[in-house]
Formats: sequence, structure tokens, C-alpha cells
Amino acid sequence: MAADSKSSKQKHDRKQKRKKQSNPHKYSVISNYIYATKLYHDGVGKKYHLHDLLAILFGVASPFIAMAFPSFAVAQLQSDRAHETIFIFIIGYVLILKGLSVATAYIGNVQVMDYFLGRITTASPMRRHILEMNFEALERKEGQEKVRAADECVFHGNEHGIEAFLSAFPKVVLNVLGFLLYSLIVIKISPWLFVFMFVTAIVFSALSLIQGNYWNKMYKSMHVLYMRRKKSFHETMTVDARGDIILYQMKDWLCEKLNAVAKAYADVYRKYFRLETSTNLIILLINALRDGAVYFILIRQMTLGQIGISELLLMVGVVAGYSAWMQQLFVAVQQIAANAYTVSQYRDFLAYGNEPENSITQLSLEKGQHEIKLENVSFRYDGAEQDVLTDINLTIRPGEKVALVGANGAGKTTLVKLISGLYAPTRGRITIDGIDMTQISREQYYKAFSVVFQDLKIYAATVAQNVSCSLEPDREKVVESLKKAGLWEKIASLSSGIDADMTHHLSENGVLLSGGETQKLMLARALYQDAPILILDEPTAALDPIAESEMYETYSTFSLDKTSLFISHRLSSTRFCDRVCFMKSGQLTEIGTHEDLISLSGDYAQMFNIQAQYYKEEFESNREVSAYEPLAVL
Amino acid sequence: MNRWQSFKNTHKAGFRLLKVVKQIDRDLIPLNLIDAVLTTALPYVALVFTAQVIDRLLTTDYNRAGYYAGIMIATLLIIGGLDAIILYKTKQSQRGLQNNLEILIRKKGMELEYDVISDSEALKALRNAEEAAKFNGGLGHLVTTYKDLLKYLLSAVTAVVFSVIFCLSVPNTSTGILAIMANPIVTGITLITAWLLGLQMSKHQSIKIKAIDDAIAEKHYIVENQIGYWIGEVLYDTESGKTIRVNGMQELIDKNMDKFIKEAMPLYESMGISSGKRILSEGLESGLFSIVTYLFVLVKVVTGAISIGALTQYAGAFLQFHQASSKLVWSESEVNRLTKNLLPLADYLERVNKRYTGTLPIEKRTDNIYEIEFHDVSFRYPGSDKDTLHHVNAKITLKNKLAVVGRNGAGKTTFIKLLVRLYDPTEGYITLNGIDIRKYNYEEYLSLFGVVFQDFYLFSASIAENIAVRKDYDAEKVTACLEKAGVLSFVSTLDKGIETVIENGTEDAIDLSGGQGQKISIARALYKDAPFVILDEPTAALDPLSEAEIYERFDEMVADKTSVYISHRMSSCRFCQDILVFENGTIKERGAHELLLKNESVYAALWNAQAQYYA
Repeated sequence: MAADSKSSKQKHDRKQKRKKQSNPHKYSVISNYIYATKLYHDGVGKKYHLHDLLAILFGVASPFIAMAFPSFAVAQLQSDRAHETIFIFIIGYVLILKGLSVATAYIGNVQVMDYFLGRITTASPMRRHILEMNFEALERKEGQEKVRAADECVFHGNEHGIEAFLSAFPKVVLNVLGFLLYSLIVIKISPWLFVFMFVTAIVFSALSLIQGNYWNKMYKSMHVLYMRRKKSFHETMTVDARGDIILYQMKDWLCEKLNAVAKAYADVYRKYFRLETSTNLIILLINALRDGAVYFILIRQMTLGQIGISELLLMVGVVAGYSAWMQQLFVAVQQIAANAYTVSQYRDFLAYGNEPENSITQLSLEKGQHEIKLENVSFRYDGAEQDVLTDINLTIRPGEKVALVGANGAGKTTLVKLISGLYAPTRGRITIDGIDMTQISREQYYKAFSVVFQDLKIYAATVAQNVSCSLEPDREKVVESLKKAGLWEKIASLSSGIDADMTHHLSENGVLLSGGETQKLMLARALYQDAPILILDEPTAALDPIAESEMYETYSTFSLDKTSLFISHRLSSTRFCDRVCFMKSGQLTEIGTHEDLISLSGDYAQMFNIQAQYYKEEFESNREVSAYEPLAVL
Repeated sequence: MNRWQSFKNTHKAGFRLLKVVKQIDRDLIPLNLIDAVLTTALPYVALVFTAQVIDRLLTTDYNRAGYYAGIMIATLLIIGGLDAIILYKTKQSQRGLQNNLEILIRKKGMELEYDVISDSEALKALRNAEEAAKFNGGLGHLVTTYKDLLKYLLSAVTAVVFSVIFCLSVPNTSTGILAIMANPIVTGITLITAWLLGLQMSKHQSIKIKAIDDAIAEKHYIVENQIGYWIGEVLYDTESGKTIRVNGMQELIDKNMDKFIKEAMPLYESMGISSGKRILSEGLESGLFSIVTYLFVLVKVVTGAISIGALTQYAGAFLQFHQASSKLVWSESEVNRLTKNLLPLADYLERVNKRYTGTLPIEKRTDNIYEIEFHDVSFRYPGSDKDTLHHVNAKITLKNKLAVVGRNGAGKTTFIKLLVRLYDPTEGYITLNGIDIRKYNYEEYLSLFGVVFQDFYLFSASIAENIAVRKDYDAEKVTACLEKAGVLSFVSTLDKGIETVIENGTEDAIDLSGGQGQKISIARALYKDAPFVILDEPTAALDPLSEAEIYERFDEMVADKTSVYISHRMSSCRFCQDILVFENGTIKERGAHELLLKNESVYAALWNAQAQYYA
């Protein structure tokens, strides 16, 4: 009981902490406006405010002048002015009208560029943050969700996110001004009509509000569908799946899956289209009723001699354009409301998962040998029920080579992530030469490590950049590393050598490497960095026995003066390590030299013997194998 | 002639593509036709009736004015309502079109030869087709552009009718410069001249701007692709986050993205400048045209040839005409561009598979007596200058357990791919029970093999569906196969058991570890219950215990069947009676383990490289 309440309290505390760290709801619309404006101001320059201003000016004037034209023209033609004067007035009016509409379109075009440029600018801090933030925070579900939300703010086109948010503000001003102007005209001619118009405008706006809300809701709900669709499409043509699809004749099954997603999409859209169509029909009907009423009232007023034809025409124009102002105003307000949250999410993401400020920023981990000490280290994923690693105690002495072995899922890879600084321990501490790792800045800390992970990443950059991991590689060192890694022959045969582009992502003729060659490139990367601590996670899985043996030897020489940690399913790799650590269910159960552990006859010895038996001369049948009791496999 | 030819070609291609549309959705084209007619009619209805209303009001015939206003409102309501309903249908069809087209492409893609993936011409064709289908709105955009073309054509024709009526109107007075201008012939000639001049201008401009736009669009595509890669494939790839941090690659990644965005900026700017120029030049041209038309409309009004109310009607019609004719030119060139872009799509969909498929059925044998033999088989990848497999002769004997070993690149996997007919030999042939395998029906031949590839793939569906590769699976059989593959104990711990969904982005889906995935793909091979079982590196991702477990179960799994086992773990050779040793594309040695060890050749070297550590 006591333990339970303690752990739930812990959970509660953690939740509290997270809440404090990040809460996208804490940003107000005004604060988002100021924030976004500043971003755009810095990215686009002062001119963008001027463009907004001009857009408002033209945006009000242009439709007004156009609307008033028939009234103006008829008034002129009815007047007893000379023909020349009438001609000049009307043609002049047409010129102003044209000029304004061109100016409106032109400034609109300039604004598109402004807002686009601004949006691109906002991508930059986000990119940097993804690259530099705490890895564990990035990796966890919450972090992934935040990345997605920030992405939505920046990269989902100009009708979504920060661009839609910010560009709605001048629209609000524009439509308020237009609405006021038209209202004044209506009130002047018929206050009665004004009340009527105002009501229909409200109804229209409410309808478009409903429609817009539905769209936003739908847009959000479609995310899951989108992911499903993306995955389903991806797998039909992915290289890895190709053989399986043909041999198992999966075409029909996979198409059925695609059709199911397509149908789900169609259903969602049909609902929306239905709403949209009924809204449009209602608006059409109200419009017709309104126009009928307006004509009736105006013609009556004319019969009574209260207004002339040019007033009537002006009113007809005002009525036709009236509700548009309010509708657009609502759309703009809604645009702000719908997108303010994405800006909040963007800001929230930038505030989330920052690496802590460290007191020690300079640590001479660059050269020499180092001691790594784990003291009661436990690790638990955020929100998980139980520890992945429990109370690990281990000291890796300067220059020592340690092999880490154990069944799949025993926690080896998590331990590597902890030691290499990607994760911080949930409890306990890790020290390097006696200094707590959390006190060392990440940048400095990572510099001490060369790590080859299981997932081998090669990027669409040059060979030299992929080896050096930097923009300006030391070319001699690149060549030297490639030579040592046994990949030089292959690279030298390329026409552009180490400047050749890699992968087919961006270059049709990019270099593609086989599994074994990729491993060698990773080795070259490690050689280039020549960091004092070396960690290898399953470096030989894809290699044939001879290449594997060679790889062991290369690493063995290379790691002579280094502190190193090897993880491999090939227990043979333990033979050139000073000590072996055996992991089981998140705990270090056996530590010692290979010989020690064999004579201990524990889990390690059992595992080693299972593998070794096949290589023994006396191996006859697999009956012996059947005798083994499965451990905690998987 | 040349222009006529290109016009003909464009629309020939256009209609070819519209046929694809018709094939996917019969209703879409008729719906668009109706929409075009209705939307063309709307502005003219308003113009004509407004003119009538104004004229009646000017003559103080208020009843008549009200009557016309009423008819106008009712007509607009009916047309608008009809169009709203048509649009409701059209939008759904349009969305369906895009979805179904993408599915059609993928379906076709799955039917293509296996080796399209090795970057051959067929894969390029697929990629081009997909890009064509997605970029620029795809096939749906072609339909709308054709609709626009029709709409503008209709609108222009209607406007011409109005113009003719306008020109023919005769002034009340016959003296003075105004009367001359209002003369039908003078009006007609001047308006036609103005229109032709304007057309020439806009055409010239539109061709120039179009050329710039097209050049930009092409570059734009490349740039988007580059930025898309760095953001989508690198920045958002969480696994990359480890490599980036530990190797300090932030600078490299960030600067690369910066570089591409900086390269892209002038492009986006030039897109903006180009459309800005278009706005200005179109504005200028339409301004000039407006002045001329308004001048003549005014002349006709003041000379009494037409009424005051008709001023807005004719001015409006001219405006419609101007818009329609300039947009007509634009839509025509847009159709031209779209058909060019979409042509790879049509080509791709009409593509014929290169793989020869025979008609012979496979004899179904309950005793699984099948025998496969390689006769002097060589294989060379397209574009390569040397054989991957070189004159290979081998007989795969019945119910044998065959191991295939060799160094990386020795030809093991190619051998398997030839065996299961993912590739056809460049030279030589392969027989099944004495008959060339190409003479058998392809799908039936494939049904002989249960294969677990090194890079096996599991799909976003339930575990059971993944094993049975269909929606209606036999649950008992699925369970039995999971048991045999040694993963049932794991699957039973899951809440939904065999119905658990594998990674598809939804909340309750699970991610499998490499070892679990590998075992499930073994279960898939077992479910197929084919006479040949082929395992390509099935234990690469497994720890020693799971590996031993697979070895142990191997006998049971392949009982009664012929099996081929490829592995770098030499230990696997211990339970195969027959070992094929590949080197440089040929079979160097063949025999049992002891014999090969005694040979002290390739096999012995491979064996010892691993065995030394266990000595």
C-alpha cells in the first residue's frame, strides 16, 4: 500500500512538473499576435506593415467604387451636363476603378510573398530546436506530438498555422471598415433596411461560422486517417516489401486496405460537403428573399418620390455587397481563433525539452582515457509503469574494453543511450572521471563519444561529409579513415571520389552502399572522430564471417587506447574484451572476464554454450539443444 | 499548321486522359459540363434583367420593374440552387478520383516486375506517374481546366451575341461625330480591332509569362524535393536524432537545409515577380479595352441607339467577353501543360508487364514431389558489366535441407531470387519437374514458395491478417503457425491477441522488436504451407537464445518440405545435409559439413573465421 501511494505521488509530481514545463494554453491571442508579428518583422522587414496598410486601403476602396459605378453612370447620363463632360467623368471613373482593382491584386500578390517569407523564417528556430533539444524529450510520445503540432503551425500551407493566423488581422480591420462604410450608407437611406440587413448578415455569418468550425474539427480528426493512408500507401511500393508482396500475392489484400482508407476519407468529406451544400442553399434562399424585399422597398420609395434611380442603384449594390463584409469579418475572426492555438503550440514546442544550463561547460574529455562509473542507475520511460533498467552499478576503467551481452529486450540499447548521454538516469548517477554527467554540457559530452547505433544513417550529402559529419571535412583525414575502414577502394573508384553524393534521395547517381559497406562507412565515421570513448551496437549483423572477423580485428586495434563498449549477439566478440557484462531483464546479473563467467556456469555460460555447440566438432544432432530451457526470451 | 498540330496533339492527349477519368468515375465529366453551363448563365441573367429593371424605372413603369426584378431573383435562385447540388456531387467525385487514381497506380505498381525497384525504367515510369498524379492537382485539375475552357468558350460566344446586337443598334440622330461612331459598321470594326489588339497583347504576354512560370515550376519541384528530404526524412526522423547528436551533425544538417532554402528563395521571389508582372500587364490591357468599350457604349447611349439601362448590360457583357477570351487563351495553354505533365500517367497505366507468363498450371501434389534444377544459369543486373551469377548448375533435391553460404556479394540472394522467379536468368534456364519454369502460370509458380526474406516486411494490419495476407483468415491456422514459429507465447500476452494491429500510427497499435517481427514473418511463410520453404538470414536480428530456438524448431517447421537456408551464422550448416558454397557468382563447393571442412577451401575458411572464437 505504502509503496503504491508513493509511486502514485511520484507520478503526480512528474505530471505537475511537466505541466509547469509546458502548457500551450498559457499564451493569449494578443501575446501570440505580438510574438508572430515580431517574428515576421524580423524575417520580412518593416515593409510588410506598409503592405498590410495598403491592402486594407485598397481592399475597402476597390469594391466600394465598383459597386457604386452603375449608380454613378446612370446619374451622369440622366444629368443635363454636356456629353464631353459626361464622357470624361465616366471614363475617368472607369480608369480609377481599374487602377484600384489592379492595385488590390498587386498588393495581394506582394503580401503572399511577405507571408510566405515570414512563414519560412519561423521554420528556422523550430529546426534548430529539434536538432538541439534533449533527445529523450524529443523521442517520447509527448515530444513527437509537439513536433507534429509545431510542424502544423509552420508547414501546413498558407491556410493553416501561423501564416493564416497573422494574415487574418488586417482582414479584420479591412472588413470592419467596409462594414461601417456600407452601414452608414444604408442608415442614411433607410434605417429600417439597416436593421433588416444587419440581421441577415448575422445569420449568414453564423452559418459560415458553423461550417468553418465543422471544417476545423474535421481537419483535426483526419490526422489519424492521414497517417493510416500514408502508411498504407508507403508499404505498397517500399523496397523491403516488394519481394513479400509478389511472393505472397498480396496485391488484392493491400488494395482492399487502400480502398478502405479511401472510403473512410470519402465518408468524412461527404458529411462536410453535405453541410456545405445545405448552408449554401440556405444562403441562396435568404439572399433571394432579401433581394425581393429590398427591391420591393426601394421601388416603393421611388414611387413615393423619396429616392431617385441612382440612389436605388447604389442601394442595390450596397445590399449585394453588405453581408460579404460581415461574412468575411467572421471568417477572419474564425481564422484567428482556429490558428491561434497552433501558434501557441509552436511557442510551447520551443520552450519544451531544452537541455539544462550546465555549470561545467568545459571538460577535457577530448583526449586520453576516461573512467565511466554508473552508480545505482535506473531508467524508466516517461509515463511507463516499470523500469527498463534497475540499479545498474558498473565501473568501466580507463582504456578498458567491455562487452555487453544479453537477450533481445534486456535493456542493452537503453544502457547505451544512457552512457552516451542521450538519456539521463531516472535515479542514480553516471560519472565520467568523477564528474556527474548531468553537469557537463551535452555538446561537450557527446564529443567524448563515437557511437555506432544499430540503425545506420547515411544522408544525402557527400561521402566526405558523411564520414566527417561536418560541412568542412578534413579531406586527408577522411581518406585516411576510409582506408583504415577498408572502404577506400570503393570510394576511390568513384569519379568524384570523396565528393560523390550519397543515396538516391537527391541525386540520381548517388552512391548506394551494401549492408557491409555501410557498416564500414560507420567505422570510418568512428575513426575520423577518434573520440576517446567508443560504443558499438551490433556492428557485425550484416557481415559475412570473414568480414566480421576482420571488423573485430580493426575495432580491436582501433580501440587500443580507448575506453570501449561492445554490444553483439555474436558472443565471440567477447573474446577480445577485457570484461563481459551480462544483462537480463534490465539488470546487470553477471560481470567478469569471459573465463570467469564460463566457470560461473550462469546465464552467460549457457548462452555461450548454446552458440558454441554448433561450432564444436562433436556436434551431431540438435537433440542437445532441445534440452535448454528458454530464458526470458524477447 | 504547326500550331494546329500542337493543338491537335494536346487535345488528343487530353481526351486520352479524360478516358482514364471516365474509367474511374463515369459521372464526373457530365457533372462538370452541367456546372459549366450553369455558371456561364448566371452573370448574363443578372445583366439582362438589371438592364430591364433600370429602363422600366427610368420610364416610371414601376410594376414592370418589380416584375422583372422578381423574375431575375427567382431565376438566379433556381440556377444557383441547381449548381450547388451539382457541385455537391462534383466535389465528391473529384475527391474520389484522386484517391482511386492513386490506388490504381499502386495496384499497377504491385503488378510490375520485381526488379523495377533496382531503379530501372519501369520504376521511373511509376514515379513519374505518381508525381504527375499528385503535382499541380493531378487529373482532377485537368478536368476542371477543361471545364473552365468550356465555360469561357460558352461565355465568349454568349458575349459575342450581345456584341453583335450592340453593334447593330442604330442611333436616333444621324449627324455629328457621335452618330458616325454609333454607326453599326464603325462600332463593329473598331471593337473588333480593339479586341484583336488586346488579344495579341495578352497572348504575347501570356506566352512569355507562361514560359517563365513553367521554367520556375520545374525548378520549384526540385527544390521542394530537396527541402522535403531534409525536413521529412532527416529532421523528423527521430532515430536520426541519436546519430545527429552524438556525431555533432547539427551544423551539417542545419546548414544543408539553409542552403536549399536560400537557393529556393530567389525562385519563390521570381514566382512572385512573375505573377506581379502578369497582374500589371493584364491590368493595362484590360484597362485599355475597357476605355474603348465604355466609350462606344456611352456613344450608343447618348445617341439613343440603346437605353441607359442597357449601359450596364453591354458594358458587363464586354467585360465578360474580355475576361473569357483572355482566360480562354490561358486555359488552353494550361491544358497543354497539364497534358504534357500527365502523359507519363497515361503511358504508365497502359503499360504492359515485361515478364513472360506461361499458361501451364502447376500439378498439385500432396506428396510435395517437386524438383527444381538450374541449367547453366547466369544472371547480370541491368547496366552492370559483370555477371552476378555465372554458369550455375544445381539441382535442388527433394525434401532436402539445403544451406547456402558464402561471403557478402557472392550471389546467394540472387540465386534465391532466380529460384522463386523474382528475376529471370540472363542466360540458361531453370526447370521444375523438367519443364522450364517460365512456361508455368506465374502466380501458380509463386505459390510453391514460402519465403522469409532478410528484409521481411510487416504491414499495418492485424497480426493475423499479416500472417494470412487476407482479411478472412483461419484463426486456428494462424495460431498454429505462430506456435510453430515460437512467437505464440508473446502474441497471447497482448490484449487483442492475433487481432493486435501492427504499427499503423493509431493509438493501440504495437511496435514489434526485430526478433518478434522476424518470427511473425516466419509464421507467414508457414501459413502459406508451400512445398518449398526458404529462409534468408532469418536469425540476423535474434539473440543467441532465440536463434537456437529457431534452429531447434527448424526441423518441425520444414518437415515434409524442401528447404533452403541462407545464413552468415555458419552454425546453421550443422543441421543441413547439403551445403552450397558460393563464391564470386559460382558454386564453388557442395556437400555435407564434414566433407567441406576436409576440403580446406572456401567453406573451411568461412567456418574457421567464426569457429575460432568458440574454440
